[in-house]
Amino acid sequence: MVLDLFKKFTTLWIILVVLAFFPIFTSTFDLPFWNDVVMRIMLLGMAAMGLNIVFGFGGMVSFGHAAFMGVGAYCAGISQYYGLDNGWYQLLMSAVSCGILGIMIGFLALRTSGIYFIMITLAFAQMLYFFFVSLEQFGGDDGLIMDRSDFIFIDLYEPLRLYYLIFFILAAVSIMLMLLIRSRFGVILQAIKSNESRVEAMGLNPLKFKLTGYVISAVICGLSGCLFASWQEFVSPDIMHWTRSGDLMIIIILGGLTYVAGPLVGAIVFLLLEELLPDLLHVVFPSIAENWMIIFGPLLIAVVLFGKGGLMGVVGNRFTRPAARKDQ
Amino acid sequence: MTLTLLLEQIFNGLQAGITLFLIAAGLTLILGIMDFVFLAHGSQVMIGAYAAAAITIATNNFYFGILAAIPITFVCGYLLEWLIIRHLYRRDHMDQVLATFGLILFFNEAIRIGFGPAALFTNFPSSLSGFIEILPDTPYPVYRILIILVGLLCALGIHLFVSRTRVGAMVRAGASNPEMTAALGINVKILFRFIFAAGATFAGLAGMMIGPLTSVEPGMGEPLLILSLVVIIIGGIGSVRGAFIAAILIGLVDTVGRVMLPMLFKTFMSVSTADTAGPALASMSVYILMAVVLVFKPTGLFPPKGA
Amino acid sequence: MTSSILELRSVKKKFGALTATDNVSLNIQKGEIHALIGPNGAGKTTLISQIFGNLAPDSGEILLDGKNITNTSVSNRALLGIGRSFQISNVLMDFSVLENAIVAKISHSRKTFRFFKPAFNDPDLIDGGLAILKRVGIEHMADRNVSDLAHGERRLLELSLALAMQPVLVLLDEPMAGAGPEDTVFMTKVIAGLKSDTTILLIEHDMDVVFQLAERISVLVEGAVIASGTPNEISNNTLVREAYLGSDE
Repeated sequence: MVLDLFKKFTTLWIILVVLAFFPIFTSTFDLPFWNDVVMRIMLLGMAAMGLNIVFGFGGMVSFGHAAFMGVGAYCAGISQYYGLDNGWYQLLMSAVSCGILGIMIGFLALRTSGIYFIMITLAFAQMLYFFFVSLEQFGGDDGLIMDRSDFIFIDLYEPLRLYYLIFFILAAVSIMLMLLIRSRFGVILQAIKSNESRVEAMGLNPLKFKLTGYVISAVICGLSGCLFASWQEFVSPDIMHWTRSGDLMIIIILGGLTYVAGPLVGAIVFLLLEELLPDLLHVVFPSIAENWMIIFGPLLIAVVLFGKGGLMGVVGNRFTRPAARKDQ
Repeated sequence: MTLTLLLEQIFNGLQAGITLFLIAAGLTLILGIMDFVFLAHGSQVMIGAYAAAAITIATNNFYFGILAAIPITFVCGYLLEWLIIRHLYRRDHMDQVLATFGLILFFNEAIRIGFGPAALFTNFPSSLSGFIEILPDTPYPVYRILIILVGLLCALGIHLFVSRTRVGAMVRAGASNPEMTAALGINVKILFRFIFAAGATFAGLAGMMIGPLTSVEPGMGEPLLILSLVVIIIGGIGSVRGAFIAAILIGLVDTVGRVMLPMLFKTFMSVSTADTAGPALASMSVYILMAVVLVFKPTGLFPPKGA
Repeated sequence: MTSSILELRSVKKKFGALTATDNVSLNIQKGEIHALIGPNGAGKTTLISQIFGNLAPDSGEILLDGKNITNTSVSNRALLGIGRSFQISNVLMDFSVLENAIVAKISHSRKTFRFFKPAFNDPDLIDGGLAILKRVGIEHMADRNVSDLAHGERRLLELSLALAMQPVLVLLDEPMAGAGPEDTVFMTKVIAGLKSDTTILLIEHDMDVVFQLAERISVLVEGAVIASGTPNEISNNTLVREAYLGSDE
């Protein structure tokens, strides 16, 4: 079975191996800045992988998953504010909080569908956003400056400790997703995306599976947010701004939404563009180097219009098959 | 004293609500008839505000600025539909979300390049800067009254158009049943483009009018977009009447809450805590309202018949 | 009667001013093939949808094997033993034929919340899926993608899915619609072969098929059952001839 996973998810394994050895590359060429970029890639990639459980595999367009990142981040920030520095505890708390919140929001939101579902998930995210803005004690709008959490046995202030902590959690999430997507549960989730009324007619209650998927994805986003707080050494409502929910969707679509590795590929491309487009523009049009979004926006539209299946789809060209089956 | 303040806030809420309605009126039809998730509608507001502000500054004439900006927003909407939007109608919602998200990024950045990141400030002419006593001892700015009146006039116009004209009947048919529009043999392409451009114009008009009251800056449309989406969902996608009622409701809840909640909180909280928590909770209340409506009426308060 | 598998008691359903189901009472006997016929717009599909739970009746009761299922959800009705094929083919389009059957088999096994073991190469599920396909004789198409299937082949797949839960009652909504003459002959044979295991409620426009298969026929006109009986009784019923058959032939 392990061998099978290697064969089926080649791209994801290659990315994980590259990420594992990346710090060797940066230290050889003395590019510590890029470790930072890659940590961001891993964190956003992880959150997008979580979102993709509902978005790509379950066909539910949730426009509010940044809220779970925010809740995860505030679990770390607020715990530390009250002196609970233990990062493992904070991760647990993020998972539990996002799980409970995921059940509540998912249960209410999944009563609707289509555009209404998109909007109600956005509404819940906005609600949480303003909730944290209102918490003056924790900085309100301005946020909360914090230290990296204290992961017992791992001192995050030692070089590369944070990098590998993020990496191992990302790897764990990846392996879990590879299994989940091919499992009975994963197959049913993809079947619901394909044709909900047939699944129902087969005696399966779609809501149960959609809600479970929603909760799992919320928890993964929460873990990402919790680590994000340590990476940023700062928490503010900004982490859960609605545009970040948009970013997560962009990342998924860029990479390819029917692939487990898609969101990670998307995160790599998205953040590299964010880093490199200004430099590139600086060479061509120095006056608008800061305004790289002027290129990125139309690029996004072009991807939607012409690049069905994302980058993974372009390479793999097997868009329509369920992820549970195809090699990726 | 408090009563005066309350009355003033209610008027402010009305003004905000009317503005939201102007933005939501077109958007609800775009969502309802075309089943199209259009997130860049806030950019239309921004384009309208910038067009009016720039022309006002250049010509030093407020009225000319508005008059010239109206056709500009119409043309912008028309071109946008023709260039990009029409290729996206048949796509699924997530594609539409992403492509129009890309449009937001583009427009904000284009404005930033063209006009710089700082806000543009314009003033309305002195003839509009006076006050009217809406009640004895309760002065209220003429300009805001004017916004309310213009907005109501537009609302009436949109209502008459949708309920009384032949094209309006098609629009209603389309909102309750998108397939029917095609079945009626209506030239759907033209109808869509017209609705789109008209919607852009009303959104632009909202931007022009609130320009002098707020700051005209890149990204100014997005908070309004989110609020008008809330309005549309509460009112029922595709229902102009629903959008009107929901817009007034949201405008009042948001504006009045923003002033009243901090005052309420100050009775049992420290002043600074109340000043932070109050407005944020007022913003939250809008979304709570929407969630409550959706939980009990998953298709909004006034879903178009047959939907 | 104790041998009735499905009983409708004055079921009513209105859409605005239109009465789609008008006080329908109906008894389907265990093991029979019961055909529901009627002109277009008579409310046949609406009635089937209420039996399956896709639509809720405004009033009346639906009993399956003596058990009141009026308020039971679709998925629970499927678990209780009702299978349905839809008027427009309703299968998992992105999946292969065998994968469709495997999803049905997963549901049948009741072991659905399993998160680790891959489903599509689980030998038990594959065997179970193939058995589902074999029931209607399409196991040779197992590896084909549904999107590549011809119309008639999809109808057969859907029939196999409707049978996958080993239902006590199968609702077939125009299984021959759009199928070619060869497919119709094959499908008729398949349905006739199911008679020994299950009860079938069949909506069909093709009168040859109806009179070949059905042991009893109910005629629905404008939402109301105007006659119920053996094919002989129905074809000699003047009311039916007037309302329906007469105009056709």
